[in-house]
Amino acid sequence: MLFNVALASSWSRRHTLFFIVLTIALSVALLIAVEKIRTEVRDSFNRSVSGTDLIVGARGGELQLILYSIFHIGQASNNISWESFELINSNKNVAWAVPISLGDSHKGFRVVGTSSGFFTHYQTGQQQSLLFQKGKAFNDLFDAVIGADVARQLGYQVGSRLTLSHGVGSASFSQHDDRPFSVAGVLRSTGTPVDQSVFISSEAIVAIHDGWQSGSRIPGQQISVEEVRKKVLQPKELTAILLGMKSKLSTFHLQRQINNYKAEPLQAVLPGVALQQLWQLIRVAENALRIVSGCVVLAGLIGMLAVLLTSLGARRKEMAIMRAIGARPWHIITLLVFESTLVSAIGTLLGVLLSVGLLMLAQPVLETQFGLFIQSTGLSLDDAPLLAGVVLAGAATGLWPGYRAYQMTAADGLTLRC
Amino acid sequence: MAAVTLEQVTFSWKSGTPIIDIAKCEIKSGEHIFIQGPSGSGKSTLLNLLTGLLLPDSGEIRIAGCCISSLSSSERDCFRADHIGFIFQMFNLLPYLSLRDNVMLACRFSNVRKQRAIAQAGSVSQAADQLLLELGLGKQLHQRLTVAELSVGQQQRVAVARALIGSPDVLIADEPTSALDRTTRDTFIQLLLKEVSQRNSTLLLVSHDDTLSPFFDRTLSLQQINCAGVTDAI
Repeated sequence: MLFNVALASSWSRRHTLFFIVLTIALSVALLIAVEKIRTEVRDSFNRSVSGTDLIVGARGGELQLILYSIFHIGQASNNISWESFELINSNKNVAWAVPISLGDSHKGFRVVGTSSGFFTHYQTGQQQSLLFQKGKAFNDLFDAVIGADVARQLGYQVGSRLTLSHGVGSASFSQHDDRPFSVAGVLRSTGTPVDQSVFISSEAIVAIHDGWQSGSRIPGQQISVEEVRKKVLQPKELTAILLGMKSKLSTFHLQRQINNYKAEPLQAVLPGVALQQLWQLIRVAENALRIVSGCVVLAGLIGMLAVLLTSLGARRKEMAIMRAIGARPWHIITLLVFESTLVSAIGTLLGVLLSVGLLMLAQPVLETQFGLFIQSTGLSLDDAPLLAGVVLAGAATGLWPGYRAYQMTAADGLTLRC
Repeated sequence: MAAVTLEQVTFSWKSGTPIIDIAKCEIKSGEHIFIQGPSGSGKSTLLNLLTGLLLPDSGEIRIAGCCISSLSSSERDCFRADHIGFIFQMFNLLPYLSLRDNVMLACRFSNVRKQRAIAQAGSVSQAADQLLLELGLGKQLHQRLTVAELSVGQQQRVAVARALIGSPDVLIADEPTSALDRTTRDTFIQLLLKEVSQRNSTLLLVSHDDTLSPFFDRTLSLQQINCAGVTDAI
């Protein structure tokens, strides 16, 4: 019953309250967007590799290994020998082993030397295998398979010709322009670093570096493409190995064996464990973001407090009338708390709609510019406690003006004449 | 039976100078009393004491047989809602509510008055409409005018309707005619007295304007009954 009165009262001041609703809506939209992007970044990292039980590389940081082998961030500290790959591949518990050779690029996209097994064994997201949008895996020595982003951004199709650059910068000085490749297949978009990679065979990596020494061409040594094809192109080194185990139980056993391998300093990491390390690192930045968006919400609530306290001056008479009719102090406080709850609830609702709209608009930009895949722009249930918290804090904000209003009526009594 | 009794009531603010010091004052049930006093004679303080918003330093205030000066703060609020109808000098109404809702508001805080209104007219809204009709506001009610569209005199009549709904024992009016011209004032007072008589309510009207006193059963001069006799300006 009192709520109708409170509602009518708020409605009569809707022009002032609208702006505070807007402030809260914007702050809530920011809060949700930050939460959304935070979880999506996490998801997109988690999505990048699945179905791989172990990643093997040169001994170094576990995080570093997964960063360069899967996410193509940074460089390998060292290569590992092909003998080690064969030894591990022949282990009776290993179901499959895929070599990864990095170090070259094409117009800013990383080149991954691997085997055709990569396309059958590598999985992303919830055990989703790689699928070809067009074409097929490489067959010829100078065939390449490109990710969806590479195809889209460079306008490549099956049959397009490309030359690789030595090193990973987009402005590399040494070009492998004497050994052109042709696109054999284009992969479907996965929302992972795979989309931004050019895949060639491990043998092709050897072929393009034939006649090279220490990162540059040996002068005067010109070997034609035909001559290269005739050579035995046995790789001597590789960057990392992706392993699938026959039984998950043997994973730890093999990991220990690899880590204790005497002939070469190797390490094997579980992708999940390495990702956990990544989260610990990222958590600081995440928390900073959350604190900032939390502060924006706080600023919105303080703004509301200021508006409510200011409105009390104009509402003195209203309160005096209520008291004269017999309103108890808690009625007066309820009136103010109702208003702050209403304003923050509408603000929160509007903020949710705003964030959904903004994320929908930003989705294509985030995907192309930052490779961030937002799977659903809708609200997840995880946001519910956060939003309830905002509304609750908003409700609590009304307590102070409510108490002030009561104090005012107590001081004014029935004597106020305005 | 006495509707309002004050006995040895004193009140002073923190400064210590007494503002109210009334030895004895009794108002019979159904009486229409005019309390006359110039500004500064303690009128406002007396009204706050009578409505239970202030507590006397000493003495007893009894309204409708209940000693309100011994009630707790929230009990006094309830008592005020149930037994007292109050009319301000002006701006009595909440501008964002309709005329009917303004009148019905008095029943929102008092179950007693709500039940009484229902018993008298069938429902609270019918009771409100009936009062507004009796007070000559039928047209305004029908046209759904807002508070802002009413004249001051009409607003005061809506305030009377609100003070009367559910027939409270005592009606207290604080300078209700000060914003009205002479003709409107006389019509207003006559209408007020008629409605109060119909309901056998007790009326206490406080004003500095002694030309009102012929309308009433009895006139009390606040300066005479209040021994504090201060000339402060609250």
